[in-house]
Amino acid sequence: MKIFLAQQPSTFLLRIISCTLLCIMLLPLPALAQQRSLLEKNLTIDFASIKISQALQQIEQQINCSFVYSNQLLDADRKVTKRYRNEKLERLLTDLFAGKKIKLKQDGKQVFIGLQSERKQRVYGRITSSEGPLAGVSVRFGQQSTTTDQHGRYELSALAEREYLLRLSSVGYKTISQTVFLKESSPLVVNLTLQSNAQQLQQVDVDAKTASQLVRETGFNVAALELSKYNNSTRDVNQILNTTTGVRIREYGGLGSDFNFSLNGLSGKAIRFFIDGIPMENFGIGMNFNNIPVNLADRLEVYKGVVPIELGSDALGGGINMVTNKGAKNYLDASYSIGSFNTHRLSLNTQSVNDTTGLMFKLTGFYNYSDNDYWMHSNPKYDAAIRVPDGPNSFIEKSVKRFHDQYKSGMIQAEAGYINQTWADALVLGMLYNNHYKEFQTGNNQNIVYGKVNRHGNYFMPSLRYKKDNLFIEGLNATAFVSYAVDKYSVVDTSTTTYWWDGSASSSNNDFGELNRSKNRSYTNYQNTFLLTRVNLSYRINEGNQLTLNHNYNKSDQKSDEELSQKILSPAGQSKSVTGLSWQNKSLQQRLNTSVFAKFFHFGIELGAVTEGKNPMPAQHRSYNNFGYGLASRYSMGDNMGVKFSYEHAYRLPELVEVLGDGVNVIPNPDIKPESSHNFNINADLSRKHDRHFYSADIGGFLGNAKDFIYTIPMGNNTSQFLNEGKVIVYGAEAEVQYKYAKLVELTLNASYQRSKQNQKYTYGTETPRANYGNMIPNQPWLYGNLYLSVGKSDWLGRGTRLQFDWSSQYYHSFYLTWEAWGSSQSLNIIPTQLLHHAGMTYSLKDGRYNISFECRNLGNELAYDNFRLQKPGRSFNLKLRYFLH
Amino acid sequence: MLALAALVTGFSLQSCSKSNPTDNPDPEPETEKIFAVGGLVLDPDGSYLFQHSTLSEGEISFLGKGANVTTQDPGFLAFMTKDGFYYSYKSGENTLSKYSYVNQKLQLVKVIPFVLADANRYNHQWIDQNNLLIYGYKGAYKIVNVENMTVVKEGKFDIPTKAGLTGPLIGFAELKDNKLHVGYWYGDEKYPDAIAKGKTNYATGTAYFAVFDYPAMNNPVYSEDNRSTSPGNDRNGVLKTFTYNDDLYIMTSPFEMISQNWDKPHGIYRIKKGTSVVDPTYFLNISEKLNGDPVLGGGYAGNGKLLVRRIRMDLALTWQSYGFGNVQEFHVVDMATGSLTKLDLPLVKGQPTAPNILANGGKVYFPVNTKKDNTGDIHIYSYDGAAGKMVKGIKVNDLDAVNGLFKVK
Repeated sequence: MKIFLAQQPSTFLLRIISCTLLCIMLLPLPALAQQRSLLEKNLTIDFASIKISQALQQIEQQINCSFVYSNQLLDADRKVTKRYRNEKLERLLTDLFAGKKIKLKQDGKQVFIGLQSERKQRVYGRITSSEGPLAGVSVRFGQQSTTTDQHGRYELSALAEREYLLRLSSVGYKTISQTVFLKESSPLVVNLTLQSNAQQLQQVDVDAKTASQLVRETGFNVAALELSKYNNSTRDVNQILNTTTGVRIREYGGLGSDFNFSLNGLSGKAIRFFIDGIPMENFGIGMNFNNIPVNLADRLEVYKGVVPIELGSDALGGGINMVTNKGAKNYLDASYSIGSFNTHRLSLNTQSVNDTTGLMFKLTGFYNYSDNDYWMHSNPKYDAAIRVPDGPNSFIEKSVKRFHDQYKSGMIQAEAGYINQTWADALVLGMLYNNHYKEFQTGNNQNIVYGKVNRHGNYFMPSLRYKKDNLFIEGLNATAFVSYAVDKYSVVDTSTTTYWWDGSASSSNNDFGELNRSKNRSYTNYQNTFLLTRVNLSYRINEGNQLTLNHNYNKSDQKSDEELSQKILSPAGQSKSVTGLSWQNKSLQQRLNTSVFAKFFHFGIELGAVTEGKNPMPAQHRSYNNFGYGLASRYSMGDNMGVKFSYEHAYRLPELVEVLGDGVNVIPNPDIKPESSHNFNINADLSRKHDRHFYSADIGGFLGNAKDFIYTIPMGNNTSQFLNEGKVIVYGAEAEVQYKYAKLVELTLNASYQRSKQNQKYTYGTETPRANYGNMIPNQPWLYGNLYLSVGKSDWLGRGTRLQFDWSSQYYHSFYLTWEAWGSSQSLNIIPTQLLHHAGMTYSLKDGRYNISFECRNLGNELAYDNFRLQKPGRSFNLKLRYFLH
Repeated sequence: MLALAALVTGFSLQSCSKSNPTDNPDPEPETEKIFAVGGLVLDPDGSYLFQHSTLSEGEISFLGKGANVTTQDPGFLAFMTKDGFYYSYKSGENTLSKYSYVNQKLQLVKVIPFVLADANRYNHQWIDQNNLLIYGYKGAYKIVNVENMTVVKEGKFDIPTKAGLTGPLIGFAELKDNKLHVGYWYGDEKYPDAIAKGKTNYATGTAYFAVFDYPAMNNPVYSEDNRSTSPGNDRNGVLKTFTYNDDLYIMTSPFEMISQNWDKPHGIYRIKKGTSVVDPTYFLNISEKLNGDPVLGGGYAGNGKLLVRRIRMDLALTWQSYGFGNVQEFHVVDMATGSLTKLDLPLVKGQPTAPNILANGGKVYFPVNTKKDNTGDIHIYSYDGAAGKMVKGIKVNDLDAVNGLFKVK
């Protein structure tokens, strides 16, 4: 009864969230329709040398509305003479306020006229002639102007997003005048070649770099993924990351399943995850990259081996940062998808900014539900049989549906605050709530079947973030973040029954639970609290030099109790702080971009006294202080080519789960130590644009020498433990090539190779030499690749429409569960080679406002395994409806 | 593009040069094999089985040879062998599997549903040539006819529970003279601390015995004795009992890795032939003769000679060192006199809870792992009870530990 009552509030809450999300998604449709009807009304009206304010009054009378605006801000006393014939109100107003970037918003009969926020952006580039760089060229963007330096370089900053007339002039050369558009989201690079007066202009190259491109041009080995092209996909963040070079995500099942993330040969917690720079571990056990819909993110940054200090964490093997910020603009992105295995996914991402007051409100959320009742097929070829009893003394092998793998999770986050104020670029208060319920179908392999084990919990996090550029002095930028989170969850293992794959009971009236046949049934409650503070200060000394200081402090505490035995388990806590300082330098005419950094790590852990049980322990305290450092550098050879080198002596501090276990399958290990690694990367990139063709290629290699490597190993039939496995060397290479033709075709092909070598000579804690010293560590994917092809046509089925077909293939080479060199080859356990294909079709209307997409994953219905004896879902179909207004 | 193609091709070639998962080497010649050596490679643990005709001479390597049995029997606590077959019970999966060793691979002969309550730890006893008794450490048991893999009898030992205590926890079940002898103990989380400072006890200080009529499994006769505790042990295949002069002798295991009672010695009880209670006049206190140290694992070599494995507690300072430190000695107990003789070997290492000591045909085979720094190796030694002699046998290469020794046929 206790269990039932405990689940009811969370279930109820999930329903509330889902209904709210659904209502929020549906509500804007009629409201927006009404809004469009007023702004889209046609007018015929003349204004003869009257003030704009008077003109607006005339319009009010004609269409029965009222305008709200600031006279001063919009300069409405300015006189105009205009003549409009059957003109839409929206266009009329835009024209009336020509020269100002207005923003229109309707509420009933009222129309608010405001100014769009003008985030400042910069334009830079290089002017050359056929004989080399041109110095002293006059470069004018609208009202701003400058001249090129001795290397032909120029830069103009503090420019607002709009269209500009670019004018270049220099004695002896043809003057160039051209219209260019500057977006707030990224700086504009304009490289031009001037022709002498005797020649004709031959080349004008205008290229706006995306944020992802700018990230790639740093010295870090980073893959930056723009997610806009995936927004109509039903994929979650993990599934997109899984197609990136160097990344291999091994999932244990379907939606919401646990997973192991490996990046350039390192895996587990050596890889850190962030949302907007905030470490994911602060978001609780219920929120992961495998349940976050792609629509909530703007881009993903995958840092391999070397991680900038801005992410403020102890990432040994790399970090993934999900950037959600879509700029200071209004938008609404809502979607619903339905798919196989009774899967339903809702997502919402909307933001409203009042340009006049600077007040912003952002609401994001998602709800996932799946029965995950996919078919499990017997596969004796790879020793992965599915057996159900056939009488008392025999089994038969057959296909069965998973019967206890339901997953549901919901998240809602509201943020409110001010942006673009004199005292703050952003001051935002946020509240995040998530709730999850997850059933467990198997232990660490599918031969261990669970029928009742589940985990459920909820999480609440208030937060405050602050951002200010040019704080106190020019060039000093500051950001700060503070959050406090409470994560409560329960692991329920109260069944007196164990189960076969067909759902029938294998034993009943047991004292023990399903998770461990030697432990009594249990209902364990956990309460984790997380305090996180983050401060980042950067100071731009001059054009070529910048200093950045970042400090993260994280304190987490865990309490737990077991209800059936009324035991209160030992409380525990840990504190972790990472302080980083970096110096970024641009030299050699900005060709060499270097970042040198140092990080100081402090880790403290408190374990309460264990007074009961077989192995009582006194209260314990452990702390570690470590100092890491590194360098990331990129040398640009021309505008289309660069080479990179990066190095970091990285540390990774243990996490609570590694020290204390997860209460389900992970056994505590209070003696665990931080792991450290020397990571090296070398990369080269090349890109070329010719007419509407775009080609790019990236190739890189890495080497990591990890010590006290934390490694999870099975401990018994269905449990595992994290251990300091000693020394491991990881190395590998990756390559990616891409071809695009305008917006019609995109083809990406990549391959990754990575190996991990056992480099520990002696058995941990002894002087006994290990037999496998120098061997490749088994049970790790080492060769895989991806293909992505999209073909899309805009305006084919009508103006503003787009039809796009996507195809992706993933190849994973087979690998061994155990040491390859030991035992006869025919007796080795294999995770087989797999080639999986996915396909989808998307139809968009009204320039992407309405989207409908249909996807099929695992088209060939392959028996897919990321792990030995853990079959993944077969073929699935998904339909997604998305509404996107911006 | 070319670079990518080269990369993929290069790696593919490299992968081809290694053993391909689908490759099958030539089958080994089918000679008569009667022993199997179970080898362990550490982290992540791999378990390997090598069948061989003798343990007394020669040299074997596990590199590219032997059967990988990591998923069939992790840690070698599951295997039970008879007439060329291996039987493996997995409590988490509720299965009992029968395997044969074919072409250096364990081939599944049959798997049956096999549910044994509270049997995360269990032991076995061959009732006869075809019938195998498997009993969980909380008293549930089943007898299975291994020829056709059917359960022929099942139940739970009629042993009382005790209020406030965990148990009974079964340490052995031995069929002798149409009686099933069962030894057990109880756990107490609030049991008084050990006399030794900083040590706590879990097992109560009493060893319990029950003797049933077999096959009826009734008329239990109970007895107890508090000179030691934890009769037998809960690790499948590790020495629990032996018969000498037609009497049943029982090893006790209050060791920290088994039942944990620091105050009680390791020793040997006796149930004399024709009686159903523990002999109050006999207890051989082995710890007393070994500076208080525990013994775990061993084998009866016949002729009144018992080989035991001693753990030097003055050297074993951490849990890890029990299995991986050179802290073990082998001693021979003369059952007639009760005296102990240390075998002339350096300090060795080995998992004391593993079934890696095998008694067969008047000999006891045991692994001697002397690896330390870059010296030492692993040999299987044997002790001949009749001759009273130790012989250095087969050399085992390329392993971290020998965790299993089995007589297969």
